[in-house]
Parts: sequence; structure tokens; C-alpha cells
Amino acid sequence: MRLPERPRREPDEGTVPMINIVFLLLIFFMVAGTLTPASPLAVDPAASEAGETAPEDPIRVLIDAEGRLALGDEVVDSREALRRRLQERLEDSPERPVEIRPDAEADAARLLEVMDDLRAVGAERAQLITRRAD
Amino acid sequence: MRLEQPPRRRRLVSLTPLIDVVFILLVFFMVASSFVEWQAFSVSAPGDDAASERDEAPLRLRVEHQGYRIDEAALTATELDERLQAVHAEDAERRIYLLVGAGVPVRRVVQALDAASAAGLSHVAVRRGEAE
Repeated sequence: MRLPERPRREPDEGTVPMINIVFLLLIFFMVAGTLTPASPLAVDPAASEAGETAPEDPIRVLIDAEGRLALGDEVVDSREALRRRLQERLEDSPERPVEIRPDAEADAARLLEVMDDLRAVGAERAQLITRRAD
Repeated sequence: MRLEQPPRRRRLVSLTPLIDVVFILLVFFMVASSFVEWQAFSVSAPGDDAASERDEAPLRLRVEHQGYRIDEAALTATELDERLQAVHAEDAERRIYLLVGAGVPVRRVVQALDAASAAGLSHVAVRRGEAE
């Protein structure tokens, strides 16, 4: 006896809707999120209601909760080293804005020291970066 | 009459590797992207140039561990908001010096900057409290 052939199901028929969802998620994360370079120090800036938009492509100075300093993606050991590196960077691109990104729990005295250093190398104005409060 | 179904065409390329790659991309973007919005405050250490333009003394706001202090009078955060609004109503261009005490975390300085900004005062400078 010949049995009627059972309809063959493609094995990956059910995966098509899943691929659609995964693609949508992928596009969402690509468009909505911003890729941030890894930070050399763990810094969690304070939250604030007000503030201007953060500058684009700045020279970034990081201060973590223990007062350690980093410039861009490298940790600097001392204020002298920070000043020297800043000087080099500002000579390369004097128009680049400078931002200071201190941890919420960092000592404000450290922030003032960094501002002094910035002024010493000729960066008159710096932006203090905060996180937008939810 | 029952028409015979056309034979299904087999896919030329298997979907499985594609899904793998898309999943990897998805995980990468989920892990690497951040949704935090950053804001900036323009801060300047008080220089002699801008200060000398106005003969009026700037408002000296002390930022301390427990709260704020103007002319030795301690203020809570709400009182500070009211006070800054009153200052703004009097003179919108009034300069403010944030005098930061020893050991105060940046968080409190940012709160003070936030309060000043909310009151509409934009000429804020940060300096050391001990310098007085």
C-alpha cells in the first residue's frame, strides 16, 4: 500500500519570524545606542537636571572616586604627567574642547586641581560632564 | 479539481549561519552601546578679567558636606533654590562663586551648579573655600 506522502516541512520555517525580530532588535541597538570607547577608569558622573549638550569629540579628562586621573584612554599617574600630556594634545589640536568627567564621589578639591592644570596649559574653559537625571 | 502544489524550492543558502552572525552582532551592540545622556556645565575658575568688569561682589555660596551656606547662614537644598531665584529676580547677571570646602564630593558641587542653572544664573565659577 502506498501511503500518501506527508507534507515535508522545511526545518527552519519557524525561524523566519525570529530572524525578523532579531534584525529589528539589532537595528534598534545600532541606531538608538551610542558606542562608547572603553573607559580606563570606572567613573560614574553625578546626575543633574540642567546642562548643555556635551561637546563632540573632546579631550577627555577622567577623575575616579579615588582621585586617580586619566586622559583619553590612558591612566596618568600624576598631575605633572597630566599637564604634559594635555599640553601635547592641545598643541596638536588647539580647537578641541576639553571635558572633565569626574566621578560623583570624587573629591571636589581634585576637580579644582585638574581645572588649575587645564588653565596652566591654556585650556581656558572646560566642560564638566554630568549624567542626565532620570 | 485539486491542483498539485508546486514543489517547494529549496533555499540556496542555509539560514542558520546567518542567524548566528546576526545574533553575535546583536549581542555585541547590546553590550557595547550605552543609553546614558551626557550633559555639560561650562565651569571656569574665576579669572581676574571677568570679575573686574563688574564692581559688584559676587555671591559667595559655600558648598559643604551637610548643605550650603551663604553669609554664614546655613541653607538646605530647597532654601538654596528659593534664595537663588530671589537673587536671579534681583540681578539676572549676578556672578556666583561656589566655594568648595575640603572633602566635599563632586556630587554636591554638581547639585549647586544645577540649582544655579535652574534659577537662571549662568555666571558661576568654582573655587577653593580655603582661599578666603
